[in-house]
Amino acid sequence: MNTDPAMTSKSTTLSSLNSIPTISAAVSSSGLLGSVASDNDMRDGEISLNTIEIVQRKFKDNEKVLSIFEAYQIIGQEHRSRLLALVVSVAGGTYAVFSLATARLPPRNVNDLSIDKIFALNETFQIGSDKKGSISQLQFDLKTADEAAVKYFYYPIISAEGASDFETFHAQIISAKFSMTHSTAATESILSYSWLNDYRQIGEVKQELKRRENEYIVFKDFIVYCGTWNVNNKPYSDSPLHLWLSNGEQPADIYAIALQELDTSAKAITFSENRPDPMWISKMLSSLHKDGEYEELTSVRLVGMMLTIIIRKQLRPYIARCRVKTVARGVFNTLGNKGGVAVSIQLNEGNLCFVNSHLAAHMAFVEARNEDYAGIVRGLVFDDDLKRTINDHDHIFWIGDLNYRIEEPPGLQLPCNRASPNAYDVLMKYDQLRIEMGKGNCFDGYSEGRIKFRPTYKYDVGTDNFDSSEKQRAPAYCDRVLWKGVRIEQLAYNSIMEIRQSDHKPVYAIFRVKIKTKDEKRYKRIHEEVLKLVDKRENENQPQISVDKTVLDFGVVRFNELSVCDFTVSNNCPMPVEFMFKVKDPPLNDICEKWLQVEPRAETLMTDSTKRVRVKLLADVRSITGLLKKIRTTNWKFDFDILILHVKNGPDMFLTVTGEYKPSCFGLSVETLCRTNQPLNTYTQAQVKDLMNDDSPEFRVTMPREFFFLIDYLHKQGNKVEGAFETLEYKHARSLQFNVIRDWLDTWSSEEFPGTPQAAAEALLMLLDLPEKPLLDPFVEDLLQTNTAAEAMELISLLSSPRRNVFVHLCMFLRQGIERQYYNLQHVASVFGRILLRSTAHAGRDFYRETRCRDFMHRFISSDIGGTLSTGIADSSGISGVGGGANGGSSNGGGGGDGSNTARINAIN
Amino acid sequence: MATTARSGGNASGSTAQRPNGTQQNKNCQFKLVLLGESAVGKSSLVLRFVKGQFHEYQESTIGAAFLTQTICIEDTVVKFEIWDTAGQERYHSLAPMYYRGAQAAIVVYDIQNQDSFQRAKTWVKELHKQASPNIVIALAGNKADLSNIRVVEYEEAKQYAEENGLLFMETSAKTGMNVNDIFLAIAKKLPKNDGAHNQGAPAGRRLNDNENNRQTNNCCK
Ligand SMILES: Nc1nc2c(ncn2[C@@H]2O[C@H](COP(=O)(O)OP(=O)(O)O)[C@@H](O)[C@H]2O)c(=O)[nH]1
Ligand SMILES: [Mg+2]
Repeated sequence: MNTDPAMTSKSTTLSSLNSIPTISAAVSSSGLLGSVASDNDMRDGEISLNTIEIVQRKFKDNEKVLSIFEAYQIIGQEHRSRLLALVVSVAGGTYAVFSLATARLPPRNVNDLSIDKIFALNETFQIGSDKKGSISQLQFDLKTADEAAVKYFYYPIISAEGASDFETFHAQIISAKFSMTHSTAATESILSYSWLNDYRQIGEVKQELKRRENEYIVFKDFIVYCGTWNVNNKPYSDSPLHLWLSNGEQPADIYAIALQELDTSAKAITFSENRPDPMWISKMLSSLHKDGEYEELTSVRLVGMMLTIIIRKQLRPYIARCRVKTVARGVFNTLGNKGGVAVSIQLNEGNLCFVNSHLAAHMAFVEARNEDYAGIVRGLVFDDDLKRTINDHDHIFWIGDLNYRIEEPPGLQLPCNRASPNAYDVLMKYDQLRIEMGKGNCFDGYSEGRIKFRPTYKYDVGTDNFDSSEKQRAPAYCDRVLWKGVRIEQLAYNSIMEIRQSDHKPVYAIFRVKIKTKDEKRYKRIHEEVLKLVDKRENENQPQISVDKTVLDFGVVRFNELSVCDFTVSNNCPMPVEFMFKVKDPPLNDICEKWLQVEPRAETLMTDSTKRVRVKLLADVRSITGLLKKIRTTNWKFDFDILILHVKNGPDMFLTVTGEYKPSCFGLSVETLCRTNQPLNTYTQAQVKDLMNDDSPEFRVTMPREFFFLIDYLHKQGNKVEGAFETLEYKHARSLQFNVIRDWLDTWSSEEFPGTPQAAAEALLMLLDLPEKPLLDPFVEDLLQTNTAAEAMELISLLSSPRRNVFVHLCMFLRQGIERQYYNLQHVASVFGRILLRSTAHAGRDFYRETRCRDFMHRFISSDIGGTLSTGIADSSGISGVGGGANGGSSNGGGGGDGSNTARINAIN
Repeated sequence: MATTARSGGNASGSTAQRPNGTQQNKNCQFKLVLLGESAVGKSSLVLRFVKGQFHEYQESTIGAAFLTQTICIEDTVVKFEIWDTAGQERYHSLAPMYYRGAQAAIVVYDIQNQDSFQRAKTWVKELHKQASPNIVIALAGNKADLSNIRVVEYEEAKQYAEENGLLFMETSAKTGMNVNDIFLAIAKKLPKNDGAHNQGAPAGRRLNDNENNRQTNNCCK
């Protein structure tokens, strides 16, 4: 107790322990709750239960909820409600604190609750609450050897009806723990925590099935036959074992046959002989009750001790689990000449444990025997799903040479007389085992039948005479069969005098055990009910959110203009909800298209709270290409995007982002631009989609007017354009000023160009760079393979006429600028190389490829290839057509511009 | 030393046979997705199967939601995670996110709507092409209570289903006709043991709670 920090820090509470209701009082008052809870047919909701009554329904009848406390855990950023319940098992005599997650607070019915953690109030249990600082004031943690420390917080105000305040709850826990550690001389062995296993590591279905066990469990009788014999290191012989093993009217269902001193040679001890002895086993099998058909289930051996479990053959399918374990208690507790071997089995729904032990010898070594017992109890942990100990079984049979002697009372005549049974009772008064059990020093909770047979030790071999050697050992009841657990009835307990091979007589005991068994029909029905219930619980407790709209309409969306649309997510369900936008399949691999931005992308919402989510739409240089492609390829009604709003462990909601894209020249291919007969601002999204999908070879003009306007403007700027085309960065595109230029182009405006020459140069780059495909498509890769301008020209002549014309005019325009030393040839070749010969395959930069692009452009723009260019233009007549087309198209003004543009082109020619 | 597993005798295989046993049952969880044109009755079928209800006015689904429903067939507990998706064409591109990883699909059409039957065929084609290869597909001709005004003939759909290896039933979410049956038929057809004979198959996820996996095979003899 001193090691418990809670005890020291909460000494004030401890001292006032007497003033709070004691646990026993609480148990009796909870009898009321028990009766409510046991009424399983009374469905929740018909009567209104307070919280403690609802919690009680989570437990079995003989498990009482003594008090509950409302706390919460902080997990991540979430506050998770927890109801802590102090529960006592009447059968196990032990307490535990359960942490229950609750779907709502207070819980409305038992379905809202699920067990989250269990803290057994065993010796490792600790409750810590440092009362320092303001934040830590309302917090404490719980810890056991099985559960790492868990931090709980609580509010100063209690909302659940019937819940305790912290002081009371804390004091009750301490008092419960105290009552256990001090109830039975600190012997752990009597206290069983096995009832907790019903709530541990198991799914909800199983928990629920356990809770309703009484509705489908019936008890079936099985006959258990236990035998023990110290064979005194004698080899297997012809002793009439059937005298020992075939007693009883009915054939036994299970035999547990324990031998000791099977082979105590030094060799066997040192090498910890653990191979069961087949000779003995076959002898046993042939000596059983004649009316049963038997098979060996398992045997376990540790040096001299062997335990063999034999079952009726037809029982085999009902054995669901079978584990063995040994504990050595010999010299230094490692050699196996003393100790225990044990078998754990599950038969139907009952857990049985058989222990064969050989404890320390000699009259004086009572304490050593007690210690051996305690050591075996401590050390024997089966390697099964729940790490069961001996005490975690419903039915325990402890058999063996326990070696307790008869304290020789002065004047009592030994050996006693077979004829007077009372004489045995007198002897038992001096039996060390009974004395020690009476003092609570060993075998707590075990029972033994009345002994009506002579002491089984020590005889002269081959006779029924007690030891006549010099040592004259006092006769003793060394060989015993004890049991512990429920629904066990002893039918026989006797020794066999006629087996004289050893200095011990064999002993047997027969039991009728009522073992938990499923009524398969009822079980099936209840199982299905439980599955339905769990489904229902899962479905109903699914987190839900709502949104104020599922369509986010952005109205008119324009190139390079940010639009914003908000929506609200609300959590109206009784638990915190995590929502997030789902990442969509490749190639997108993101929650939304490139032209969208969503903020926040994930969030946790507390009950009854809301969150505004902002969606921004921007079709700019980064995203216009993809957007136009999506418009071009969407067969059904076009949506900018559909966002998937995902609720963790819950449904998905689809949020549609709609609006109408107002077309602009940016991002459209030169072919598409050559199909227009009006400024782009007069087109609808649908019309532009048709234009984009039109693949006829007819064009309205030979090259896009927008391109021509920009070239013409730049050309007229003379040396003002110096330093243009140095980089591929569109610095101006981000400014609103740029949108004036956009409108100038998209309206075929006759006004003065509304920006600087640098802005016009950028706009030109964008016009060429933003379409899905590079200008020299589909010959980009072929062109990069060419070595001469002439070779390349052959391919250029195969381009669609708008592409060819734009390329040739661009080159001529650039060459002139270079000749006049407005631009740097290297820069221009590099920038336009990257644009016109852009790779459609990969997005990342490839410097080797960029060098080849630059060289290609360099070759074309270099001054000495003018002839190649002009001869390469097969469709030179189209050039004048541009001017004409522009004239016709912009008939509502811009004549001056047109005129000069035509002049300009002619001049280039 | 702890487990002296001596083999021999008539030690049984991995599972003990229980003569009367619902005991040794397996647990499987399957993802099932409903596909089909909008308003054919997908949500209604789920509602009927899971809650036994029917609503004349069923809110149209804008998203994808799941409900769980567990059924027992023989000694197997089959838990369905049923995904009901929005059927509108505008959400079509999102469908693969939902049928991907599904072990079963119910493609629903409305027997009084020829277009919905055509659409169902398209779904089947898409599933065959893009869903996991062992997906169990059932075709449900829903609104069978309106069979007097049907336009899709039973035989026609039946034949189509046979040709394409689909389970087929005409169902009615309104009356409940064949609703449980179609799910049951799917459950029966799904591979239940995660054994070696169906590697790569989207076999049902074995539930990991130790509901029923008390080892029997560690018994010594
Ligand atoms: N008569 C009839 N109506 C049905 C049936 N199933 C669904 N409906 C109705 O059809 C409409 C669309 O159903 P719903 O489940 O929302 O279809 P979903 O869009 O495919 O999910 C609703 O009005 C339902 O009430 C059916 O079996 N018979
Ligand atoms: Mg629906």
